Amino acid sequence: MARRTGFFDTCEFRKNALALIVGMACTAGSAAFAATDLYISEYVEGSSNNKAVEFFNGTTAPIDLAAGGYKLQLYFNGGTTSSLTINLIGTVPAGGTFVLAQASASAAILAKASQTNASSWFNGDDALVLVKGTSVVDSIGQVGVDPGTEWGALLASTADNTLRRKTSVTGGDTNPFDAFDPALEWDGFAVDSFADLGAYAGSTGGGVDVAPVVVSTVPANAASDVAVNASLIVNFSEPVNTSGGWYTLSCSSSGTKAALVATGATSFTLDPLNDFVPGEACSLSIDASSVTDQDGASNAMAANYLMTFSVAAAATGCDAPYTAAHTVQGSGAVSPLNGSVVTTQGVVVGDFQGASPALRGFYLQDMAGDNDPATSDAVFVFNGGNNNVQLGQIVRVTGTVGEFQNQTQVSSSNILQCGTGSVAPVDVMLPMASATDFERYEGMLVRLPQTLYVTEQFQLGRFGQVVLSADARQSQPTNVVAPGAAALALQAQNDLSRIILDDSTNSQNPDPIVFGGNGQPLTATNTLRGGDTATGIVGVMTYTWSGNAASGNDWRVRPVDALEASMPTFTSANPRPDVVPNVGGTLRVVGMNVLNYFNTFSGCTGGVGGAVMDCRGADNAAEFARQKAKTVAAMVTMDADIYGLSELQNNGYGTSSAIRNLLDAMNAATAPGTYAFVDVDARTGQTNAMGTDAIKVGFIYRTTKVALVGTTGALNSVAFQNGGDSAPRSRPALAQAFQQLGGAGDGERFIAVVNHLKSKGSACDVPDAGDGQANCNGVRVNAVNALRSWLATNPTGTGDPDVLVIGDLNSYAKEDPIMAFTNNSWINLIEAHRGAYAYSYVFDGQWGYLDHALATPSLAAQVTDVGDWHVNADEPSILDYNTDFKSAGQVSSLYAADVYRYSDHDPVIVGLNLVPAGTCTNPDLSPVVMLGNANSGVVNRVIDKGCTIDDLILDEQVWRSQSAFLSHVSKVSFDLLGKKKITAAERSKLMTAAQASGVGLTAPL
Amino acid sequence: MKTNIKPLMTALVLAGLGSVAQAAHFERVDYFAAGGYSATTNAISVDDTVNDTSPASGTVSLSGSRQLTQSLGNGSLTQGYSADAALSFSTASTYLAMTLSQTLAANASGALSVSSHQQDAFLDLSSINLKIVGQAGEANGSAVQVSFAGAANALYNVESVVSGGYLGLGMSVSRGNTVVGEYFWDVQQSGLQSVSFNFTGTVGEQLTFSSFMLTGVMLESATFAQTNTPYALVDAGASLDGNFTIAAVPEPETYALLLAGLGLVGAVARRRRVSVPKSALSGVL
Repeated sequence: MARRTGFFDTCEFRKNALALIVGMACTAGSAAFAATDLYISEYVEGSSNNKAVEFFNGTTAPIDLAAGGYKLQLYFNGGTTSSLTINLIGTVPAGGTFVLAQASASAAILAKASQTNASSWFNGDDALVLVKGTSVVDSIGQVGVDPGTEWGALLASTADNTLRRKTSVTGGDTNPFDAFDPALEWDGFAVDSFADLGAYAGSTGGGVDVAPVVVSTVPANAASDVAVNASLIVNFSEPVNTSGGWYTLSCSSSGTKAALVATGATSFTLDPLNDFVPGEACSLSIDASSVTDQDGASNAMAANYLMTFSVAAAATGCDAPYTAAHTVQGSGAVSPLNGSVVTTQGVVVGDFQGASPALRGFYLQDMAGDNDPATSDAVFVFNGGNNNVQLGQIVRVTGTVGEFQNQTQVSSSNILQCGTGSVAPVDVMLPMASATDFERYEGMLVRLPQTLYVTEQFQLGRFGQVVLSADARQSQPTNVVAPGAAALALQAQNDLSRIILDDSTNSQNPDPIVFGGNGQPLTATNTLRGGDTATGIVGVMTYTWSGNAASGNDWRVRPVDALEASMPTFTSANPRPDVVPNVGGTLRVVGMNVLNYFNTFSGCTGGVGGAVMDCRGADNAAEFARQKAKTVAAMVTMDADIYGLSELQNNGYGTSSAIRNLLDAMNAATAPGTYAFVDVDARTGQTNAMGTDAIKVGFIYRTTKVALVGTTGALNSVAFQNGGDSAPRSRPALAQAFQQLGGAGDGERFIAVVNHLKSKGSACDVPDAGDGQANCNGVRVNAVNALRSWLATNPTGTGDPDVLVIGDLNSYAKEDPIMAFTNNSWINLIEAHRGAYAYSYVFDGQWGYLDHALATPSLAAQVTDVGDWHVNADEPSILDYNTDFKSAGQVSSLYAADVYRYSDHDPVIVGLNLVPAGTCTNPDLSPVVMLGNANSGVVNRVIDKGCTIDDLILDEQVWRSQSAFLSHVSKVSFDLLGKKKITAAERSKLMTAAQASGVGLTAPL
Repeated sequence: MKTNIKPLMTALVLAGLGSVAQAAHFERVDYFAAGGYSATTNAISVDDTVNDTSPASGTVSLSGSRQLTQSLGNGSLTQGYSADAALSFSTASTYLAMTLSQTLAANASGALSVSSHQQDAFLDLSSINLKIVGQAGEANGSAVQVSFAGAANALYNVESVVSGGYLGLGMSVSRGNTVVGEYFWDVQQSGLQSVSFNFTGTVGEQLTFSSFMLTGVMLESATFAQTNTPYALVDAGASLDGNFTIAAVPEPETYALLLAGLGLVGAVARRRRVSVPKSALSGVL
């Protein structure tokens, strides 16, 4: 039996005050404080009719209320006569309580009520008097006084509070007419505190070992709508032991039910082995003799206990159970319920209904989810051509689970609408852990919180989709790392760090194309460029295709027609360039691809009189006019002195040739005679010197700035064109020496070589090695080696060491063909001037450069700067001149006669500052001439062609022997002395320091 | 190695200002000197360094030579160099003698093609620090007259197929950064020159002596026919020798007399330089 803890506190207090008496009392136990009669132990003045009074029998014997003439009298509003008298009926066990409740009180109160009364009850300013016969045994309030609202204050007041008798109290307030302050004998609790009702902490029986009673049950007696899978809880007044069939749970339909019993000291939970049947009536009875208390003598319950309740009726419609979406999805790639008919329910987070090219269904997300990151909480509902749900609706779907194109779906056979709701998007981060990582988000409303970069919009026009990448635009692996393992590793990383942003349908060639700048559709002037960014995109994570194998099944976030999503607003992080890169110099050389510049639209041939070939360019005059306008705009804007062109139609140099057409347009746009082209056939005496492919390379140059010198070289050997293959692959290369006219570089020469090597697209005899360099790598390597060998034979006859190789080498920066140049002392000018991440081209969302500028060391020293003009690769391909696959409106809205997307490759611009051989453009300006670490003591100064003495010494060079180095210094110092540029004393010092430096002593390996 | 220079040298008559009494002499303090040869034929290289046989004090002495025959398709190239230098000291004079020569010959059994060949030789007494030591009572600080007298001889037989050939020599004496005596010859063709200069020094001071010779040739895409075999392409070299003497500065009257005589010699020399091509200067001696 529990004892009220307050007794000990009180006892301690009294020990101090009245040591002798209390000492004896405490030794004797709390029996000394046993009450002599019933008194009020709790007073509930709650909301509405939540009113109750608890009486406590602190005596050692049960009290029969009716026999004792106990009644509760209520004196309303200061009245002096009782307005309501309730005769109490029942027996209060020794140490037990008795609850009298207003009949309309809450179930929680009624569950503990021993007697109810339906009259109007007290409301805080009404006095209560408990009488026994005619004797007052307890009272609350002051009879004859209306306190206005209440007696007391704060929690310890008689209105809108619960009052519990302090445990120090052992008897009633028998004078109902004296002043009343609740705080003296009562503890206050907040309104509607019922938890302690029926279990007065003082119900310790004053040290008497009383029998246990059932003080409450869950559900409460007479409860209804109990859940079919509910458990029952029985709370006893004190720790008990149970034995045998201490309870009987019996229901009208399911009969007598066995239950798992969880045993606590005072609280027992009964979990029925079988669920209740909806709508049945049940009773729980407890056999008094089978329940005994654990303290003192074993007291059994005084009487059997019985409570009844009814089970909730069967749920129907939206309230019925269902199979949650996460259960449908499971944690694997295929639904564990594949093929089953299920009913599921959730909120519509993506509405893509309607006939194809719509997705023909919607995405349904479970409202609660399962908090399991391994399973998606949503599923696609295939709804045929129907369109009968809306975003934000909660719907219940019955249908068959299936996998369609590797996406789990429920094929709807019945849809029930169940109100509206919402879910918050879940954050999804790139990179994926694996290609199937996002299975766990399939169909869910997601948010992409990272800043994502537009890395591919090649298919923006065709499918309305954009590929986004994390961290930055993705590099073409072989542009930045070596082919082979490193490139393949980067490719794998790229594959996991990208996701498709798609529109709401699978239509091809959509109009409008929804993803443009500023959240507005794409137009020629409202572009979406590579490298532009978006943050926080919200949409549905779908695993779908674009409607065509050209963009197959993949993870696509669709923000349009998704719940709480909006059109992504891209940040113009990579705006269109305002100006052409300023590369400086006195000559400007451009390498550019002119996107199959064909001025004939049928009957094309490979060279003059050659085999019939496809016309690869514009389909008709109207398209050609659009192409020409863009191409000429770009060329005029670049204002170059030499244009090395690739993808010109290979139709000679006559009046109807493509190169003549382009030249005439250039002169029309500038001034007559400004530009000329190199007529390779005329200058070489060959027919079709540039080969018999459909396209060729060529030069257009500014006649006032450069003159052609030497012979024109056409490398059209089988070794070069075939590159070891069985058929011609690369277009012949063209080498031309130019001499500058006027200006600082007047009279200076260099050789430009324009190329177009075999592409990566179609296969060659030797298959793709799978190392990241794609098809025909060996053919390109062979072509480069043949080109270098040819250039060493002085094909222009000028013998000029300054050579610039430009054009489309169809090889990224780290690929073998480029290494075949740079490993043989050629300089990769783009890498040297623009760094490792330069680009001129994008393929499959990966950026790099196929368009090169490679120079011999002597020319590299005369290059002022190099730039890629990003007017093409960054632009959506749909903005080019073509009119096919565009609506009538788009033919107009997606085109402007400007420079953007005149080609798929960015042009490369090289600035040259040609100077006489041996000129130092970046002299060593140390104050004294240092030879290695040896200080010669000779004042360093510019001596010749901008070179200082230190430059001429070449001590930084690797020397194979000290003799070779000293011989060189001897020669240099002799020459300078002979020209009286240095004194004999300085020559002596230079030679001395040259020996002291030790340069050349350690021979190179 | 046999050269054509030594016979010429034997004909040299060395002239000194023997009439002036020796008042002081040079002593070697320290030195840097080097010489060597480097050549590359069709990307195959050979290098050689002269030996320094100088004793711990006194004479500076270098010598070296190398001859090499390389087989090529249809024949061979034979190249070589020879170098000797000595600066020796006595109380009477300090004697300089240097020679440097190089040869190149082709031996073709058919059409011999050489895509590239370059050879260079040098001999360099880069900096030899000398101290003027007094004798016959000349105290530190006394003014002395330092004179050099000698001759330079050059041989420069180079066939027209050879490009980039050069031959040069020279010498100098410096006080710090100031050149006090100097000789320089950028040889364009064979010849013989006298070498003389003088300057005023001070007993006890340090001077830096330097002398050098260098020569080299180059072949580019050269082809030789069998008919020329054996074919001497290059025979080039130079010699330089002479004596330093150090005399007391003459009394003023003696000095004036001497000055008048020198002026006369100078005027004659100037006039001849104006009127006579350098190639004819061998006739001066």
